[in-house]
Amino acid sequence: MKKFFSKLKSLIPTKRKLIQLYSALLFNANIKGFVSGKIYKGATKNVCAPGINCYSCPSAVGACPLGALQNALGASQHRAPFYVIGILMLYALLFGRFICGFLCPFGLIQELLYKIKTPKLKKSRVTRILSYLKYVILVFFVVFIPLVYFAPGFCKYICPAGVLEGAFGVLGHPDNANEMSRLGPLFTWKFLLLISILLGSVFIFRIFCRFLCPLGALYGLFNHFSVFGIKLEKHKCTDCGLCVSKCKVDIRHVNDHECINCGECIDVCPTQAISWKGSKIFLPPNEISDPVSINENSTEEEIALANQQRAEFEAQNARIKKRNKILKIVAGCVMLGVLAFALIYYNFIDTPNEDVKPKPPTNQQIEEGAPPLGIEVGNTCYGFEMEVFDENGLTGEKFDPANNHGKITIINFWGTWCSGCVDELPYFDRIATEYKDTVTVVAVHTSRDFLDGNPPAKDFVMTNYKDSNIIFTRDEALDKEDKYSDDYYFKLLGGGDSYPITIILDEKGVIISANYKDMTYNELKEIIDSQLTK
Amino acid sequence: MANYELNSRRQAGGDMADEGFFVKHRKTIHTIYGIILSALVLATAIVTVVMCVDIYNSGPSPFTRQSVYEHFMSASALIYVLVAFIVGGGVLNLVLPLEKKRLKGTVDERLVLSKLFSKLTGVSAEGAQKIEKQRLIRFIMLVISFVLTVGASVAAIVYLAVSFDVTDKGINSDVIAGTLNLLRIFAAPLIYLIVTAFVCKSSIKKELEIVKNELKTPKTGEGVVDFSENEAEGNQAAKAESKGTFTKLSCDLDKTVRNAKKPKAWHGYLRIGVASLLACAAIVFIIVGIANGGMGDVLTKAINICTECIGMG
Repeated sequence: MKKFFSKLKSLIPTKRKLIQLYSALLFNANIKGFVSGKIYKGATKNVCAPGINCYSCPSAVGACPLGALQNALGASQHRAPFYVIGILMLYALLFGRFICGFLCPFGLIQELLYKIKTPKLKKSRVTRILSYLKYVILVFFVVFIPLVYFAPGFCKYICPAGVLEGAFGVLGHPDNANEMSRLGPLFTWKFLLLISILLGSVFIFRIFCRFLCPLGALYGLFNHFSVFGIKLEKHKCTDCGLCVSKCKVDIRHVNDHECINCGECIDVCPTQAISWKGSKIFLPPNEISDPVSINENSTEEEIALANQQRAEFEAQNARIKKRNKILKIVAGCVMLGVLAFALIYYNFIDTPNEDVKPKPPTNQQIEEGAPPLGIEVGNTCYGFEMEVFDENGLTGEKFDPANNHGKITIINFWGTWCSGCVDELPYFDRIATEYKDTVTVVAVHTSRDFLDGNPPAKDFVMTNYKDSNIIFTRDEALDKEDKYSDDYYFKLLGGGDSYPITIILDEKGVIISANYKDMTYNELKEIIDSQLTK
Repeated sequence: MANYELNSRRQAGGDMADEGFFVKHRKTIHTIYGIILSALVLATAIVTVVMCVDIYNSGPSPFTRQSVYEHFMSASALIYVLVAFIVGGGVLNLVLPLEKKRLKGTVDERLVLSKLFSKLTGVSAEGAQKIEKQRLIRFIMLVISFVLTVGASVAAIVYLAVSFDVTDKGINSDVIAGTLNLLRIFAAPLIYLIVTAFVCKSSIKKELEIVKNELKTPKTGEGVVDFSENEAEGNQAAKAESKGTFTKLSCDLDKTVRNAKKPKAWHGYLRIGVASLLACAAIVFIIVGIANGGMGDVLTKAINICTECIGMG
């Protein structure tokens, strides 16, 4: 029975697993996001989390470092990506791949899958060679594609966390049912990739981290310099190879660029050559030198000296034990306190006001006996008053679809940070040119990027669409006293958190098509032609 | 509980014949369980993939809550069985645990080779010739793989910088074409590297055999290559490096500790210096980034969902 209970006791997660769970919970403290189906929009999203944690996950409270890096590189023509590079460097110098071993939620998911008791594929020379694949991915998908196409290549084509945490997190909520219409070939590809990675994780230890993760590749370069992690004292090493044998990743020696600093090799080292950096703070008692030994021939003075030293030794031991205990209790309390604070803050205190106040119908609409206001097809669209923008900045004019009666109005909500939006903008430009007399195309940019002095969006429009027939506006309510929020009209027209959306109004301002997905030229043309022939 | 008692008795050197059937065949039971579970996991993954492809092929705007629900409900039995098996595996490991394998050090043939070399006082001319041959094979393989890898990397950089076409077909087709071209560029070095790894391993094994034979029959006299020349100086590693024979001749069986010398202090200072400089640069970057609006960009991206970026496009 004792052995049974000892076996049960051995099932208690290790300290590393607890820290992984802790950090996963801390970086995803906005649990109410799963209930509301909305992502967190507070200030902590200014800062990147250290590990891969999709910022489109409803529970995420920080930004994804890889996504932010790709976005910053994509916008590097307008703004040098100092901030993200600085943050990544700081994380790398502080933690190196310690982040992979302790702080990455996606690493935890893979490790839990690896616990399923199937036969495992061990590391070999082939896996060691494959481990260099992540550097190719880093160069091509994280650096090259964003620089050339302004699109986050890794997030778009590879990142399994984006599907697992972001897409599933959003799609899982009933309120986001219309998001399903966005799913197409890209989702199918990424879903298949996700399934392959999850399947591989059952048989191969951390398959994604070892072969594909560009963030791990980046952090690995700093392993040698990092403040936290493990260290090898070479003068104590006997080259027995037990550490490399115990390790499940493709290391050549401890703390090289592949080492995820999990620390499992520390216990197996027969000469205690491996230890945690800074572990002398928790100096174990057996590190203190023993007092002098006594034997039968020892004199009384020697015996007395030995006893005195032993007493001092024991007292020192007791002091260190006590200090270690206090340090551990304090550290544990601080960690729990931080987590409790985060959970309370994100779920109960920092709750943004999502109320959207629709504008009343105009007198003209009432006189014309228009259908009721709403966002469904067949409803009359709410009134607009958005600031128009041209090469000289804000013009002072306002666009209102109510004043555009007699022409079809296409309202597209977009952002320069949204690669899908940028991809479809040429189609709108073409439509605006071809149907100049019958269609008005309004491209409504998210409010934050379109403020004066904030160059990416303005530069983008001026560079690519200077002579376009599209009317560019920004999505910010003008009447601040009414407490209209940023992205007001986007919310008003049923936009959740996801971009792009396109609303098409007929000549009387009635919604004829509401598209919560990317549009193609043919789709737009079909809708317009169909309306014009009526 | 009887299993545990038996197990402990066996560990204590008790009578093995008294063991129960399950205890006796625990390894077989675990192997069978592992195979069935693997098959189930594979089957579930395949079914999931097939369902996804089936939904995708079902027409325009194929993914709806209804279609996803219907497809997954049809495969729910398999998922329930899988979950039951995983839970069952936990119980199996609790009741009938596998004995932990004793951890062995990695069999690093190069290390063993260098250890055995440290014991050699001499080698016959024939043996030396064979050893040289194996080393030559490894040298040639490694040089070619190095040249191929560097060549492929340079070719990839040149391709990305010069030949990569930004076409009108859009980013998706360009990225697919680019990825395929990169795979073509790296395919030959990758295959060659894998071949090299196996050839080198085989070559080292052969050399190991030669050295073992030489150790069994130590020879003296004419035609014997002396490996003990510098041993008196206690600096075999230096000798090996100077002759270009071994790269890792650093382990002596008679010594407990590999490197008696502690690392030089300036190594540590250099590391700390470089790290401090980088940390300062990182902090400056962050401050500049906040000032130039980079932090706002991160926020904008993080509080809105770019559906294409998370694979929903």
